[in-house]
This record gives sequence, C-alpha cells and structure tokens, in this order.
Amino acid sequence: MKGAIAAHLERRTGRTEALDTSRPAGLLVGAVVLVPLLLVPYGFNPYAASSLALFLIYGLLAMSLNFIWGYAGIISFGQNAFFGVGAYAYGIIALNVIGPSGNTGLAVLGGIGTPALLSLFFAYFMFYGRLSDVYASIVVLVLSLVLYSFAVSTAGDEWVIGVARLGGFNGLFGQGSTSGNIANFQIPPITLPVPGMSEPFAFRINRTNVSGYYLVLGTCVGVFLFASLLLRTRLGRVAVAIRENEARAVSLGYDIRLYKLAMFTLAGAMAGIAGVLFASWGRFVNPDVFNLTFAASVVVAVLLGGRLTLLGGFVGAVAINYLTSYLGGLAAGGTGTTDTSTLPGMLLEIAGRMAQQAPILVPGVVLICTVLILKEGITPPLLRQLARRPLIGWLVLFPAVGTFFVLKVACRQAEVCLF
Amino acid sequence: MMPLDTAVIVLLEILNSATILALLALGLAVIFGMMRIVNLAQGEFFTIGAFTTLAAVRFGNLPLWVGMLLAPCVAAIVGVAIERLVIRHLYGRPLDAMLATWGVSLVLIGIITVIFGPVTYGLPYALGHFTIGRYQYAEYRIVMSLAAVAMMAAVYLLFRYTPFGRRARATIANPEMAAALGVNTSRMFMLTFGLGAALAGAAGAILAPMISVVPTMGILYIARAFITVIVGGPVALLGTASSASILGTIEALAARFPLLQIETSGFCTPPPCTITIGGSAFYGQMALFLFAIVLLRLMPQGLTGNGGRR
Repeated sequence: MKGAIAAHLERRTGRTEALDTSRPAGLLVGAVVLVPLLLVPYGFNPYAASSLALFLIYGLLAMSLNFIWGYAGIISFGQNAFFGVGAYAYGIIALNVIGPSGNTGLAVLGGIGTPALLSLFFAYFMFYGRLSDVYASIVVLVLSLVLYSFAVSTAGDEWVIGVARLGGFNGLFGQGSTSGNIANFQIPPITLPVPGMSEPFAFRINRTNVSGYYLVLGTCVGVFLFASLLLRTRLGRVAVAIRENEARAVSLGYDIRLYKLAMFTLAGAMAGIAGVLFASWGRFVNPDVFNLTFAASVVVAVLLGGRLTLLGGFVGAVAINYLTSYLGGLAAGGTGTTDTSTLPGMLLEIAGRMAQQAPILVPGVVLICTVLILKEGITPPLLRQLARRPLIGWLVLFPAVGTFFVLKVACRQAEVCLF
Repeated sequence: MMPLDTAVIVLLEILNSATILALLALGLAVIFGMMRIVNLAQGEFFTIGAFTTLAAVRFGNLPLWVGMLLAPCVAAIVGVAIERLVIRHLYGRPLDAMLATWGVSLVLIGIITVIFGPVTYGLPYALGHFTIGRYQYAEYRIVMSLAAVAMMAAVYLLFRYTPFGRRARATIANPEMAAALGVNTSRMFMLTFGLGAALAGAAGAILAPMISVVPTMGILYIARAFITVIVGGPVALLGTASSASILGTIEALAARFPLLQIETSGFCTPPPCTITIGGSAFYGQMALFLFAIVLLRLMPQGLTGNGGRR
C-alpha cells in the first residue's frame, strides 16, 4: 500500500524526486556549500562571520517555513511568531537560571518547547477546525501581530518575570541596579559547563572566539539533515500526498489533520531553535521579531530561494539579507543634509531615503517579482543544473570555490591579503 | 450594579468599536469577501486615505471635509493602478495574489515613508464633546457611526440595484458566462477592486482625526479587518455587519473592564508591582482575536455560513 502510494507520488511529482539531495548531486551541493561556510571565520573578519551567522539563523527560520509550505502545503505567514516566542522564552529563562546554575540547558529546552507548544495549540484549532489554507495562513500572521502589540505594551516596571524585565521596545534585559555594566544584564549566550574549568564555556563570536559561529552552522546543518531524513519517513511521504491532493489522501485513510498537526508543530520547534540561536547570538531581543516586515522577510526568503527544496530557505535568507544590508549600508551616509532645491539634490535625497527604506522595499519588490516572474525561486534551477552536470561541478566549480576560500584563509592568516 | 451613565458610556463604546471594525472591514468585504482576493495591501489603502486627508489639511490648507472627499478618490486611483499592474495577472491563483499584495503593501509603506518620513502626524480634532453624567464623549464618534451605516447602505444599494452592481455580481459569480453575455469582465474586476480600495481610503479618512497617522498604521488595522471579514463568512455585507457588532461588543467590554491583577517582582514606585489583565485597548484586541479563533473552530464557515463542517 505504502509502496504504491510512493510510486504514484514519484510519477506524479517528479519535481520532488528531481530535487532530492541524497542523489550524487547532494554530496556535490553539500561540498560546494559547506567548505566555504566552514572556512569563513578564518578567511574574513569576525564581523563578516557574525553577520553570516545571523543570516544562517534567518535561514533556519525560513527552512522551518519551507518544511511545511513546500512539503505539506501548509502556509504560515507568521512563522516569525514562533521564532520570537522561542527567543523571548530562551532569554527569560536564561536570565533567571544563569546566576544560580551557570548553564543555559534549561533555557534552550524552554526556548524550543514553548514555541512547539504554542504551534501545537494553534495547529489544533486550525486543522481540527478545518480552516482553509488561506484563512490558516492569516490566523498565524495575526498571531504574530497580536504578539507584537503585546510585546510593545510591556514597557512598564511591572512587566517582570523573575529577574527578567520584558522592557517593551527597549528589549529584554535582566533587572538589577542601574549603575552596573550593561553587559551583565544582557541575555547570556548559550553556555556549556566544562569539567575542570571555573567558568562555563560560552559560545560567542569575536576576535578570539568563533565558537558561536560554528554553533550556528552546526545547528543549521543538524536540523537540515534531521528534516531531510524526516521527510523520507512515512510522515514526509504522507505530507507530500496531502500537499498534492488532500481529498485523495483522506480517501486513502490517512488522518490528515494529525499529519498536518505534526508537521506544523515540528516547524514551530524548528523556528524556536532559530529563535534561541538569535537571542544567544545578539544577546538581545525586542518586539521587532514579531513585526510584519520581519514576517514578510521570512516568506520572501522562502519564495526567492524556492520552496520545493529545503535548501531554498537558506539560499533565499542569505541573499535577501545580504542585499538589504548592502543597500542599508549605502544609506548610512546620512540624508536630510542634501540641498533639495536643485533637481540633482532632490534625486539624491529621494535615492537616500529609498535606500533607508531598503529593509521594507527590497522584500516588497522581490515578493512581487518572484510571484509574477520567477515562480520556482532560484535554488531549484541551480540544483537541477548541478545534478545534470555533476562532472563540471566536481572538476570546475568545487575546485574554484575551494581554492578561493583556502587562499583567502591562507593570506588572512599570513596577513598579506591582496583581495 | 452599574451606574446609568457608565452603562450608557459602555454602550457607546460598543457602538464605537463596532463602527471602527465595520469601517475597516467594508472595503475588504468587497475585495476579499466578494472577489476572494486576499488583499494584504488593504491596510495601505487605509493609510493612503488618512495621509491624503492629512496632506490636504496640513499642507494644502483645505478644509477637513474636502480632504475626506479626496481620500477615497486617491485610494481608488492607486487601487486601480495596482489591479492593472499586478493583480490582473493573478486571478484564479489566490495564494500568489495574496503574496503579491503583500509585496505591494510593503512597497506602498516604503513609498509613503519616503514621501512623509517615518514620523507620526495628528489631525486637529473635529467637533466637540457632549456630557453623560460624569463622562464626556466625542460627538465625532457618533458621526463616524452614522457614516459607517451610510457607507454600508450605499454599498448594498450599489450592488443590489444599479446596472454596475448587477454586472459586477455577475462577473464575480461566473466570469465566463458574464463575458459571454457581453459584460467587460476585466473592466468589472478593475472597478470592483477600485471600489474596495476607495472604501478603505474613506475609512482611513474618517478615522484619521481619531488616531495617530503614521506610514505603518495600516498594519495595526489590517488584522482586525481580516478577522471581521473571516468571522462574517460568505455573505459579505450582512456577515461583515453582524461580525462587526459581535466582535465590537467583545472588544469594547474587554477593553473596559479589568479581569484580574497579578503581582510581580519588579521595582515599582509605589512598591507593589501589579499587572492588570483586561481594561485596555490591547486586551480588547486580544479578546477579539481569541474569541474569533474559538468561533471559527465552532463555525468554520463564519457567522453567515451554514454552521456545519465542510
């Protein structure tokens, strides 16, 4: 029975099989992507590694949406809600336990468990209430907006949980005397107690310590592999069946509500993992994680990257965030100082203001263009090219990328970089 | 027992909440309720309405009512332009249309911010106050309710009794048949979309004196508008009116009455730190949202659906 369905699906949805990363191309893609990622902290400055870590965290969040949208046909436009809840939960618990216990294990668990429970709760109402796809996607988006107004309204002194002050727009901080060093009241990074050392080991990204980057990279790879394996099990097969034809999946006897519930909850937990990494990365979280622009950027990342492959979310998130921060950097020169009485001055002023609005204009324009022109996203065509010409990939692309990054590391270590 | 003047004020607040929901949802009821386009840029038509009024009054030195008349016109023009440029290509692809309108929404917020700056504006308060017992209440809020009723009646009459309304309904019900009978369906979709945009623009203009006008204001209102239309269900106008009344009641009551107080470990002056749950605008919206989710679990088709499961 199961085999027959799988065979049918393979015939019907050639695209999912064509993008399967377990085929020989999977190794190639893995090598071309992972080797540079592993070398970045040694070939570039800590700031670059830190930004890339953030983009990877956003990529993980996008992957959680990819997981349910691409493989189960469930659209959640407020996936950032679970990310934000994870970040807040991690921060609140970590601030409370770091003093007494010195390690953040409990906070990490809470930061993943809380969004998982929240997504379970919403999944129950959405799928057992048989809300249609479009309604469900809006309900989650509204959840994110409600959480936004809630988080904004917590600025007062009374919004305190244990020693964690919610702080409204100022962000989540520990509570203590105001004269102390601010760093002591920030959310602690993820720590690991090491036997024989007085201080537990903390994952940070700076000049002397890049363990935080590898924590992010390792988690992303781990969750990616876990999700790919999961999609190969019965759960993933049935999810694809639901995506392709819900009525047929029902008539074959599958309880689609349960499968959707499971997929959605898993995605919520993945978003929570990304949220925990985010809070630990920046040691800061504020209501912006719930706002509409951020929600849109996640959807844009998945669309641009291509939702039919799990890699799409990462590719899209890195691309869109790099573009946004590049354009935002152009605007940093400052506006309002130009003389607007002449036409060139006026145009300069407009261009400056547009660049300032890049975080909102870029996702907007990309959304419209992907929907109208680039329906599949950028990753699937690239992966297909690689799968079709593995020899060129192994003999040209991989050596080229590898050589560049190895040279970059070598010259940076020797401090004689020419490029 | 509640004093009489408090009771009257609570009733007026319920009327006010229902009015705001109805104003917000009316344009969406046309675009989403009837045309089935999930238009996430609806909030920006609302913003455009508010900013048109603001620009006319603040920078054009025109009287308030002229600004309010200009607002739906500008919103309609923008709406028609968007329909022609983007949405026209996406009929029959509801998800893509939703994504594209989200993109449009972001671009519009960006453009409005580029023009007006990320600044909060305010409009002079229109009309005066009247007194009920110990309370004062703005006359303008009553005018708002009347305007909402008038707008709903006008939309109903337009769709029910005019040739345009008949053609528009025919186009929405069965585009091929309507086209075969000589209706220019493309034009009908364009005009209906423009009408929905104009209604949102008018709502923005009417609400502008009561709220802070800021480029991102649409975001604050779009969620409530969608909930109202979804809860309303398939009969667009009746559904919107009834769900606006029910949700408005819930919202006003939760925003009025504190439910419970929780003591926390914060450093407050004076010392005991308490969080009050209920009794502010935020809890009104929260209650509205939770109520809507539970209601949709019980009645997935909304208030005007058949009540049963699909």
